Amino acid sequence: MNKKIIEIFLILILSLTPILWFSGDKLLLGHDSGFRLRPIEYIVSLYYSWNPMFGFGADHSLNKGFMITLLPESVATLLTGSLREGEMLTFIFWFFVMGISMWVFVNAFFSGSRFWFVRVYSSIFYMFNFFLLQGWFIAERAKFSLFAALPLALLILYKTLTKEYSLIRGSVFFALLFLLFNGGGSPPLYGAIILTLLVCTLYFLAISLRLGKYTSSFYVVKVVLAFAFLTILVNAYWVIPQFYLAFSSYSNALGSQGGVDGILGWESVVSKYVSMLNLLRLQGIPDWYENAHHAFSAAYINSPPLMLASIFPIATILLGFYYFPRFSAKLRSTKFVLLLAILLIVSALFAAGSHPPFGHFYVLLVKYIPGFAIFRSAFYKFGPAFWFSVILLSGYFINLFLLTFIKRKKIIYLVGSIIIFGVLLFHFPYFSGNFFGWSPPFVTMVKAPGYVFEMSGYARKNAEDSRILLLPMLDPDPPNADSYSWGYWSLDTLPLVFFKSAIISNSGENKDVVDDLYSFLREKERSNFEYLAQILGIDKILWRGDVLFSDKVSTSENTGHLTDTFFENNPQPLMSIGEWSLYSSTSSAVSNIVSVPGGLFYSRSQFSLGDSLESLGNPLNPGIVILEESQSESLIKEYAAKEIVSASCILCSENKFWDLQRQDYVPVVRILPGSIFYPYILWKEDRLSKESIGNPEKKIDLNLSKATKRIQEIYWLNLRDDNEKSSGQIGRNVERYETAINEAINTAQDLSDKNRNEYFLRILEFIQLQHNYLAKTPFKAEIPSEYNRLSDFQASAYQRVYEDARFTKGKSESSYTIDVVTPGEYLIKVEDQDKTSYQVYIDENPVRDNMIYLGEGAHMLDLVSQADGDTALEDPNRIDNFSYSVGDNKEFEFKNFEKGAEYILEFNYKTHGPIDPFFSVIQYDASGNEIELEFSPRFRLDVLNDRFYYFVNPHILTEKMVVKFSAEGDKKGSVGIENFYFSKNNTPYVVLQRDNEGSILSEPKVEFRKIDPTKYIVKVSDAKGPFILNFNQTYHPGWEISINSLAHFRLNSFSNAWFIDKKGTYDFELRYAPQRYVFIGGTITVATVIIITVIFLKKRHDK
Amino acid sequence: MINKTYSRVKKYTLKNRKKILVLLLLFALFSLAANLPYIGIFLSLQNRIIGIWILTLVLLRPKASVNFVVSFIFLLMAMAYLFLGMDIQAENLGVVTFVIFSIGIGFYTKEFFKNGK
Repeated sequence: MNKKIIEIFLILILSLTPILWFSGDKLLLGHDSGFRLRPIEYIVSLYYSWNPMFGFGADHSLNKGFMITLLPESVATLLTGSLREGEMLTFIFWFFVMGISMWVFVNAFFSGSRFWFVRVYSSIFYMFNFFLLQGWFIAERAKFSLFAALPLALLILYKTLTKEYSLIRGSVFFALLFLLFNGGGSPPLYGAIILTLLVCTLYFLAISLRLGKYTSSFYVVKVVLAFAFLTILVNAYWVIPQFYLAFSSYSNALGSQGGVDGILGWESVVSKYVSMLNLLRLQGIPDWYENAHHAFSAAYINSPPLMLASIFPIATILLGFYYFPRFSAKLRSTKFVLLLAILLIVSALFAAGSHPPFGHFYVLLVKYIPGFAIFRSAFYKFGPAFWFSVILLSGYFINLFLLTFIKRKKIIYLVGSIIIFGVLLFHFPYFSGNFFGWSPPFVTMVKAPGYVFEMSGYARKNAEDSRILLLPMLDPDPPNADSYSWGYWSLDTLPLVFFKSAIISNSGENKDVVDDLYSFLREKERSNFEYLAQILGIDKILWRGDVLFSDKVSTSENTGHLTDTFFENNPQPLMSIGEWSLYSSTSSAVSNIVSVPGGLFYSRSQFSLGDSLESLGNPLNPGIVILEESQSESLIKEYAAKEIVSASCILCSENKFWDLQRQDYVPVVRILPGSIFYPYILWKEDRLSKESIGNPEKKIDLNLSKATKRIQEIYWLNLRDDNEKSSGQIGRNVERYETAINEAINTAQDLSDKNRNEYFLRILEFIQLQHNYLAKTPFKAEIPSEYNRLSDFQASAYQRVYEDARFTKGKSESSYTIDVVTPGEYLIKVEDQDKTSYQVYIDENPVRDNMIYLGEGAHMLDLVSQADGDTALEDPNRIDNFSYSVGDNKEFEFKNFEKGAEYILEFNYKTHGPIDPFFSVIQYDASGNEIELEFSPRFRLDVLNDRFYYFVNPHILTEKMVVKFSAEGDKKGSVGIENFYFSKNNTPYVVLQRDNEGSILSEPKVEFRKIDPTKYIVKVSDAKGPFILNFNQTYHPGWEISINSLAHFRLNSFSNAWFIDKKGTYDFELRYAPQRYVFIGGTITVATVIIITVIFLKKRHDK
Repeated sequence: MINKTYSRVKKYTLKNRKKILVLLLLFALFSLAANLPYIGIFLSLQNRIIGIWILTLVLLRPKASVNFVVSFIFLLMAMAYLFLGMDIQAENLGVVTFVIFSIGIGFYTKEFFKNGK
């Protein structure tokens, strides 16, 4: 007994390891750690299914289990009065819990004193291993809780199946275990536990069926059902909201991950290094191999002694099993050991995910088992089961070897202790604590500046109900992280961690609306900015002078072009401390959270809120609704003052057209012409062609796909040794290619206007893709004539489609599409930052006075710049004509451009001879350091006298830009460039308005009282007719009102609105319906726990 | 000890020389076939080794525990390749290690289900 206390004491002592990590005043913050300044406050907020602090509010039905998982840190922070010390105690707690749970498990099977080694070794190895270490840098408490639960869950199941525990006792223990260790209520994290319990259950089922002993098959099923039933009841408080979410948004969530293909794409990245060899060595952690800044992985990947040491556990297992029949029968636990071995094999297959050669199995499960896609990142989800089985088996076999081959107890103790010490030594990064620096200077163990705490104190007192907009904006590059010069980096904005206010930033669901706000600042439109801030209910602005973007170079200082407009009148801060200052966003009152809009406008498609309101003249208290989302079109049309139609610009910025062309993915062809299987390929294509009759879009896609295949076949045929035979086949393939492309073009020409244009663009994209692929062909001798014929055909086909295709082709001409549903007189408004005048063309006819009658259907709109003559002539960046050839590069330097703006580079070009020209754009900062380098696509196909344009977005640090023209190909060839200029690009926002002359809406007075984040009481006074109620929180169908409404819809692109037709003065409730699932679930949980406790106490009393 | 082991191996080899010859010939045949179109896809190095090992189990019927020592040898070979920076070969031999280990566990499980021990 005393020896066991020493074992537990040793686990406790080693659990103090995290103390080494907290040097100075540092604490763990940022990345995905999720720590909050006041954890209890956060736990209370978790009770509610709606969180008003995330931007304009967001559903928070997920992760209710964190109410329990975060309890240790809440209690520890409360007791110590410090987040830092609270974290330290929490880390020690989780360390100890994981170790002791393994110890309890092993002790239940090997309680004798001679098995001290397996108990201590397994517990310590279970606490100190690399699978867990990659979770420690952000202290993944949810993962730790299930890591701790795994051994105990298996123990309870095993003991119940062998009838050492009664069914009731086992079920109660099991349910209570998952009440305490619930993985934050995140189902994907249960992967390893589910797998372990499934293997154990099937193993016992097989034993009962085969041997007819231990337990009956029926009993096994009964145990599983009882465990599952009681566990779900006890955890109903998070399981029921989770079910609600799964049923209401699983397909949306899957879609947001790119569907099954997106999941598998991500999975292939995660499992790239999870080879069987790495797994057997307890390695394969993705971050080790891809992160150049990883603190210690290089040592384990490259150092021979560490590499050799890594096979120690699996080597002992292999040798242990080899020697297994020869161990003393008293030491062997065949049933138990085989269970662990089977678990090792099964969990290895799952943890390896989609990694070959067994990956097909996992891919099949993701594709065909509904819901299995939640276990993406298989390594992280199933890894614990593998680590668990390897650790236990290796400990068990070492223990048997020690007992078998060493007779003297003292020597056993000595050797055993050395091995355990070796395990600790092998995992030395645990004791250095340098693993928090995941991408220096960004670290998760940071020293938060005092002003952050002080500003938090001020905001908590004075801005609790505010909406605070962050300045500067979050890193504009995805994933829009919030990061600081002192090391913090996270998708959780820092103010969200410290404040109690709603934090508005350019990330999340309403990013487009917030981007409009920042655009007004960038475009120096202060009044529009203030107006939009009022509509959005943003009353405060937080300036953070210590921001360091993810590129690790750009700081708050470099964002002046985005924020100068705000600071130009020297606004007085409400509070300024250190690098942070808090300001009022506007001098006028912002919209109430519940209000009644005055004017109603509708659109039929997505619109830019800022630009649309500007085009309407920034009306007082407006409401714009998308008709199809309103659920009551006739009502909206009856009361709306105007219909607005946003024209959608076709490929007019960010090199979208070139991005399409630059793609070089070509499907692999396995069977080439000449193969005995090739007729099958043609037969299959023919069958698909027949199926596409009557479906022109499908027919075009099929022909483009066929053409791409032909090109790849030509590529591979050319590489064959048999030139003569291949040449004939290439010739036939060129013919097939031409037929497919011609068929695609002819079919596209018969499509309706808008559709036709979309397919023209797609055909251009494919021809370019095919051309690029063919250009890579390494010809052995002379270029075959078939190739030249093919190249000529591609050029002519491209030219034919390019002339007919409508899209923005440079600065002076922008093309848009418009969908008109209601015929009528439309006023065309062009919102242009540069105030340039344009001639508007609709369907190629000029428009006078910007008014036009439009019939129903799709229309094309073109804007042609009315600037005097060619803008290029006025541009200081105009370059004279020049020409160059291969090896004779031309460079041009540009300075003094407007930061944050998009620039366009345009020129005409003419090629002479076989030459493949392109250019690169190099950006330099003030010190002359290169910041960015990008290459243009190859100048289209060899179309004579063509015009090329390219968009460039200067980095915020860029002071100088160099455009370098180069070329590949024949040295005799040359390129002539004319009318080359570099100027600011500006895509005007075009909106069309039609007067609707709708009936007048009532504007009753409304007051409200907030009960909690999911419930408000609204009082309406003197409603004289129908009116719209606007609730200024993110639109969600879960919001409802307790009186009859004619429709619930999204207003102003983000908020909730109801159409109410009830006269008089009255009260009603505005509530978030999913909260009821938390209430129902919580009630079930509490009732079940009470019943379990009563039954238990009663049984104890009876005894 | 070494002489004893040597004479045991020699005796075993001579006794099963025909089967061993068949296995060696098959391995050579598989290796040649690996260069053929279509068939070669299925005859990667790891598949050839695993295939020959399964045939060995069928023809020579060694003890179940032999699987583990063979698996261990392949693990050491995989590590040798890893030290030499030949990651692909190491990865393939890692798969062989795992598969042969799984076969061994399969035999043990079969035995346990048969005898209850």
